[in-house]
Amino acid sequence: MNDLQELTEMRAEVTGRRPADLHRARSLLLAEISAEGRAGPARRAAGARRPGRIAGNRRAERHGRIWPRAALAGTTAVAAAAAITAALLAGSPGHPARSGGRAGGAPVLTVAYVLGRAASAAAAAHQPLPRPDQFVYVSSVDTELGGSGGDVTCPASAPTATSAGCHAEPLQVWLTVHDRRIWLSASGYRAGVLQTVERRLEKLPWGATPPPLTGNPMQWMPLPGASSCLNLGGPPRGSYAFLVTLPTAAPQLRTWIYWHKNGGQPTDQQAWTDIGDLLREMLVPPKLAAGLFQVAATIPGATVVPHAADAAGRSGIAVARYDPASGANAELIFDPHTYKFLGERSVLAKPVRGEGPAGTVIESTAQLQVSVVSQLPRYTSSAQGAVTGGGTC
Amino acid sequence: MDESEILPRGDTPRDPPTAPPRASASWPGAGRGESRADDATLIALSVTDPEAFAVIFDRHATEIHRYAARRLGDAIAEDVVGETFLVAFRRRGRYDPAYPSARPWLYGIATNMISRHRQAEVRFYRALARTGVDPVIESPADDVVARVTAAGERRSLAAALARLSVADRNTLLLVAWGEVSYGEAASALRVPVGTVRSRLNRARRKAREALDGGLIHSAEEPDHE
Repeated sequence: MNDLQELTEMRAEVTGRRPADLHRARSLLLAEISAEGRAGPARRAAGARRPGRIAGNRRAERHGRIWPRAALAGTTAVAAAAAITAALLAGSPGHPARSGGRAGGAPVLTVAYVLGRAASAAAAAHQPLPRPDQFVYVSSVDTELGGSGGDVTCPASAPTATSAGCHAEPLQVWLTVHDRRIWLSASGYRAGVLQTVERRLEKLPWGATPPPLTGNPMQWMPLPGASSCLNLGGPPRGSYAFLVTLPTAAPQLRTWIYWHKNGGQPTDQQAWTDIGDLLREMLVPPKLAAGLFQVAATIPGATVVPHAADAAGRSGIAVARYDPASGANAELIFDPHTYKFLGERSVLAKPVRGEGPAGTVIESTAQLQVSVVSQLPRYTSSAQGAVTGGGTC
Repeated sequence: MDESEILPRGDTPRDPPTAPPRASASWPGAGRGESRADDATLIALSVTDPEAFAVIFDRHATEIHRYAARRLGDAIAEDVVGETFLVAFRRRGRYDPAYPSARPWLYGIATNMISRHRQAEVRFYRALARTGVDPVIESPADDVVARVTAAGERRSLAAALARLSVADRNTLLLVAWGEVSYGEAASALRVPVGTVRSRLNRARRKAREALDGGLIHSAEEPDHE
């Protein structure tokens, strides 16, 4: 045997991991891509010298921010790479980073860190595999701002009753708390059902005393299954069967999400919204969930909220993105230790007339249980019309 | 209650796109499958649309990982892959569009990153040469007894690899394990093809001497045969 043959056979059994299994490496790149998208691409890509970045680091140092040593010394890409690795490893989940602020010297990696951990946790989750004839069952707690709102005499800048220049009467808003249980056909072709139970109306500090609950708090809403006749393009959207058709690798998934905008918001905002929509009240395959968090990490403009309680009162860490249209931050909340996805909420980032001051939680969902069941519950429909399955052609 | 509030999300149909949206998402050939654009096109595109670079990762990460893992073991290899693509991403503005495939370029960067772990790499070759057990090969449950003890030739070769200069070793392993042509190796290492040839000749001569002479038996290190 000659030397090259011997060499070729040496360690030939070593295999390369697939991109999806190179999670750490991939997150590193995606975080950089994401940061670059915010910082202005062409200038940064032009070469190894990035005066803005170094200057930013120096500013950070002056302000006493703890920064990996390598970044301060690092004028080479290699040192910078090491610094990013260090920052990712050292990144405290509780550190409130301004993600959009690399130019301002703030570290940008915390969103990537939180979502990277979330992706790892999601990918490692064990999950039942529903048959097409089964149902995905999700129970959750849901709060939303209710009431009649609209105290027009109250200036937007001073929405509370006690603020100067504001009408003395408190806003007719309060918090409505629901329990939700949903049964969704895994295939999408069978009828499902949603049960909501209005639990209570909570008074807000600046709001009026809510009226007592009246009527039957429990509602059953039949969810029609899709008709298989109209479904030439694969499984019905929103079904588990549909989710398993989505690409799970972040770049492909990102492309898919950006191509299939489910609404008219600006592109990045819509992508953030759509990711929340895909995660909500659904059994999301582990790899897809991981991919969704990785894609979320690439959407510019996200920030970390170190303390975010979900609708069930569980404390969590959140990543948030400001939505100018609603004046609220849309947050994805994770368990601060396991990084399991807990739920979402929407929090006013500025005072909004008729709703409340900055910090008001206008919408919140906490996912409590996700499982697979074979039967729908027996119920009396509180809605009109028959419960229809998909029907056949 | 408003019906739209109570229906689960997903019941609203999402229309398939009739036309590609704006540039940020319109990678050539993008969609469900792999983009068909060549690496050079994607890299050029990524200068203004950084996300396009993620496709480069997905195309080449496995191969680069295998190469790095063969030299350094699985664990360090992932760091190497991470650093390699980070550096590549930052240098993408200077990518030479004359090369449609980014493979040699990525191998070149990876080789530099591997060189930073020279001590670990050499330590592994020495361990293999001395004990016949290769620390780079993972065995289930890490059961030493279950590991196959390498033959004498393998151990001699490892001893030779440990003694090569960094440049010679990089060149030899890039060709043998990276499976790149001499021309690609030259472009990866940024040296003339003639230099690749002379380094290969030197490295291979040392490897042959080790194999023929049974380097492992004449080594100063005590061996366990």
